[in-house]
Amino acid sequence: MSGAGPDTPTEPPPSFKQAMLAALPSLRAFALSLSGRPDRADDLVQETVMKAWAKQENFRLGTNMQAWLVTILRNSYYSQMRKRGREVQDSDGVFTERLSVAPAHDGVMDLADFRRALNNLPDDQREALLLVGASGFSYEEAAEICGCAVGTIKSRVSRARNRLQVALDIKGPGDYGPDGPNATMVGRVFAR
Amino acid sequence: MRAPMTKSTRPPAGDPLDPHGEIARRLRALYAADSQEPIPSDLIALLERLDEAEMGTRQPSDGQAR
Repeated sequence: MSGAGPDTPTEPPPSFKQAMLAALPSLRAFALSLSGRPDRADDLVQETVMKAWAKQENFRLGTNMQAWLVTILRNSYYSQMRKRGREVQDSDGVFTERLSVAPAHDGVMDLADFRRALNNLPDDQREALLLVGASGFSYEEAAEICGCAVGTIKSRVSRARNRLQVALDIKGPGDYGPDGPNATMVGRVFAR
Repeated sequence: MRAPMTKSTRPPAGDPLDPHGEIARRLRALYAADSQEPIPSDLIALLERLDEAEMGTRQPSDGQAR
């Protein structure tokens, strides 16, 4: 921690632009999983940036910008969906294909399968799961973002989880075990 | 490793997601992978343009074009 010297003024709070820049990676990740398509995700993020910029007087720096941006983005998404009707997501598999050749850090095939299963969830369930399980929002915050009751979010998350467990054939704690090299190592230890 | 935004009200027990379960693990991994993708340059450029436009044409009343 570098302390501010006598000549160094305290650091100013981030500007609106800086706060938006910091929020973009996470916002885009949400958009990617919500829409299931990179091109759509980038359009959504762009639209969100423009809307947020136009309404920036409604945002108070220091409050939860991520929640504010996600709310704008998901409203845009559903608005677009209503206009165009639901399209088949990633029908050519480009997105999942890209995932399967990305540098691996933790089971790339797992992620590609998971992406497909996630895309097959109903929108409301996928959204609830993403907000709570990936974006780090509480159930209460997710309910506020979606404009519904906390119980509704919990119910959607529960149904989403159950569907994914079936789709991915995840049975329970037995499937949590080590994988790859770790499995080999653990297996060796327990074989003794 | 991506630390989610810190939130205090996630219930440790009875959570319908089960934060330690396999679904939660894969979800976080997917989200982490997506978050690490570079932000498209046109998005950055858009923010720059918005910022420059605001600095350059700041008006006393809110006359922002749509």
